[in-house]
Amino acid sequence: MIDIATILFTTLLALYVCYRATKLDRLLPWFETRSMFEREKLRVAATKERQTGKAVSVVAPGVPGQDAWRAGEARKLDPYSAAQRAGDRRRR
Amino acid sequence: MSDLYVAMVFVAFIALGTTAPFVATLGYVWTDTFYPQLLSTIVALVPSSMIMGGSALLFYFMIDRRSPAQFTAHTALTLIFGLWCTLTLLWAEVPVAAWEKWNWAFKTVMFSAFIPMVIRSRVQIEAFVQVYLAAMLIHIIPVGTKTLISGSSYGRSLGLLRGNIGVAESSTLSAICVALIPVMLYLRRHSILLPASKLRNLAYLSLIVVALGAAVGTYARTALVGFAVVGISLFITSKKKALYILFVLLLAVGIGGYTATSWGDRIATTVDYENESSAYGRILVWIWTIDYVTAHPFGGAFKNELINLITITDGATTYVHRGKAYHNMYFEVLGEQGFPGLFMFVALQLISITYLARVIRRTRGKEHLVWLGDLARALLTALLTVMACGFFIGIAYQAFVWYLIALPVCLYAYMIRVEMLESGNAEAVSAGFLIPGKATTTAGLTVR
Repeated sequence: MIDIATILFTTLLALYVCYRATKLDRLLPWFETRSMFEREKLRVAATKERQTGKAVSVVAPGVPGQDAWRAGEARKLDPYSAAQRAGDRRRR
Repeated sequence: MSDLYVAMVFVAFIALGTTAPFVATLGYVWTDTFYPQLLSTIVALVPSSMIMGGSALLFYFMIDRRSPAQFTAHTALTLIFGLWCTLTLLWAEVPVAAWEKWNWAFKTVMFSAFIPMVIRSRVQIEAFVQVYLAAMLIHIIPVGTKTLISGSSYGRSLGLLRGNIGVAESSTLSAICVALIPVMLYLRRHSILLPASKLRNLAYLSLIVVALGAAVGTYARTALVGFAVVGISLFITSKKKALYILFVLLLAVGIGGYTATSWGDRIATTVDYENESSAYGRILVWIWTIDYVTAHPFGGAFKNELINLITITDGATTYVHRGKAYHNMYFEVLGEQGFPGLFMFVALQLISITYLARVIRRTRGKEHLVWLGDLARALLTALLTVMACGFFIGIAYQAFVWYLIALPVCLYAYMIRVEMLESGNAEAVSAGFLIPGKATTTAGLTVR
């Protein structure tokens, strides 16, 4: 019983971790610098404020959905630029 | 039923690997630790490690060219060590056994050189640690849970795999259980793959209790060495030292009260080695190794311990032991790979420690790199624990030792890349240059 439950638990955990990693690896910046971290902190604070009904004051105006915004920022700041990505695709 | 299930998990790793290449590498780590071929007759039909390792290499070189890793001195030394292990086969004392061990040991060493190339981002680094932990839990949970529920005894096999196979061997298992405690403490605090919640907190704390149970349940004396290293290391990093000492004392009293007297008797033989044939036999093997390498400085290749002949006198009885194992990873490398091999092996460990120390120092006071500093501390404790336990077990070519040697390179490279980005050197990082102006690229790799 313990053995079977362990097989189930550990394999599901490993697969879930891989699934989450696959997803987050595309979404989050690979190398997070201080400026990215500060911006993310502000965004989280703004979201929290919004949820608690307080006025939004810190985050830049016109910020759309959380994840889309973060992915966009990550793309902008990530050194792996669109041009390089296109170049890599061509090489492949 | 479990045969089919484990086979499906194996296939799932390959399928996920096609979407994200680093997952195939994680699949290899899982296969190498979980041993699906021993748990599923379906997986046993195929060369599982070769398939997963081949997929990892193929997917990396075909579709994972983003921010390629730097070719470091650490990687070069690992490759040279692998080649040296192969070269020593030319003068192998026991050629057939040597080739058999080379077959898996060489793969382990080479794969550790590959890890820093694939594992680069924070998500990938954490995924690597998490998958290794999840795969290792298959050996830890059954032993730990059964020990906590109904107790254990010396020589009793409570794990899923019977016999002394790889990480399922009692001393090796106890060393890993203890070494993983700081890693679990780190994941409890900083994991981004498992969402923060009370459940996650509780789960990691429970796993630590189970790991402690497993370490004690193996009746291995190596665990005591591991406990000492982890205990001291956690004391140094602890912010509330008085509270920590109180907790450790309570834990020690708890373990002392919970375990049977047979456990205490077994552990007591650690210092009373002359009256314990197993411990005394080890010392005789180490003396034999020194004599051997004095005559053969380049070692006798893998499994050369098979030629030793150890005589142990226990009172009026005399035992003659042929082919006694080294029971020490440094003597294992010294006997098999000679002085050059030992030099490289120790140098690799020292470089890894230096990398971790640098990461700890340079991330101090940086809020955005707190996770990196804490992971470096956890891995440093784990590596030191394995190194200390390695003085009593022959684990020189076990995969987890090489993972702990390779991961510091990933952490160090991450820190360097962030520092480069912060100094406005984005292009150099994306191309794999970690020191601008001193690098030239060849096929996506940077050579200095």
